[in-house]
Amino acid sequence: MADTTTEQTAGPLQLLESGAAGYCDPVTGLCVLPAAVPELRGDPETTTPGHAE
Amino acid sequence: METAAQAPTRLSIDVWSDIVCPFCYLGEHRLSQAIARSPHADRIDLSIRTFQLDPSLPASPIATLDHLSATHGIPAAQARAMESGLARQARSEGLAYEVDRPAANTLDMLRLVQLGNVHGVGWEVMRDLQAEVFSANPDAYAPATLARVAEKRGIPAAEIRAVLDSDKYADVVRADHEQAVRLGARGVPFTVLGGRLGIPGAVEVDQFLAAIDQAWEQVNG
Repeated sequence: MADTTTEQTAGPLQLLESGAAGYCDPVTGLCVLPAAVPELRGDPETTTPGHAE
Repeated sequence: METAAQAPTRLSIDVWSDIVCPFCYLGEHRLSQAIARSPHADRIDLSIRTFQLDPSLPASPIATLDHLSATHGIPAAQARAMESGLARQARSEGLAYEVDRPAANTLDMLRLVQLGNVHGVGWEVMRDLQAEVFSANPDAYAPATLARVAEKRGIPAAEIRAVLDSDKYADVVRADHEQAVRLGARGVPFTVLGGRLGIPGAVEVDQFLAAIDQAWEQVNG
């Protein structure tokens, strides 16, 4: 596959952070749930275990 | 005759994902919807990249909830409640999502996604494999299932066997992971538009759509 990421990169990557985006973190092993969507949370915390150690 | 100056401009979108990552499954679905709604849809080059979240998962499937509960020391009921919330969200967006599903090591699947990329169907192979896992096919990780999924996307059976019988593309899986970390990814999904904008996580469809417009302007404006 062509590395189009490198091809179109003209400088440092600008990260668009969103408080409502869930993601899975390989370091902590947690899938971080959207803070803005409390009904997704299973407990008072804002994180749920993911699939990493 | 079309000249270089008249040639249609394009936008690359790269998405780093793993098979067993709930938010990858959801985020890819949302990104697909955003691309479909974008006026630039036919000029977007979408690529899937691999990011293995948990290399310690065993080769033989185990219950996802048992794994979550044991790994993080939480009661099974709490793990189920958390997963149920994700299931409700996924189903509300039209995706199959079973809480009681198998979990296993995804390296072979990710190597097959890389083979799919060679054939231009990596995205489709990723989505099909995720569908097998999240719909709780007990044989989702079996070599026969992997072969069936890849063959359905037109990859020659001999090439599939050659990958599954070796460690081919493991180096590409590692390289993809390292590139994501270099770009600033803390986890997945991680989406990069035009090599300029990075989006951590599964944002909403409208946010993906706005990011596509922003990246399009930066790359082609």
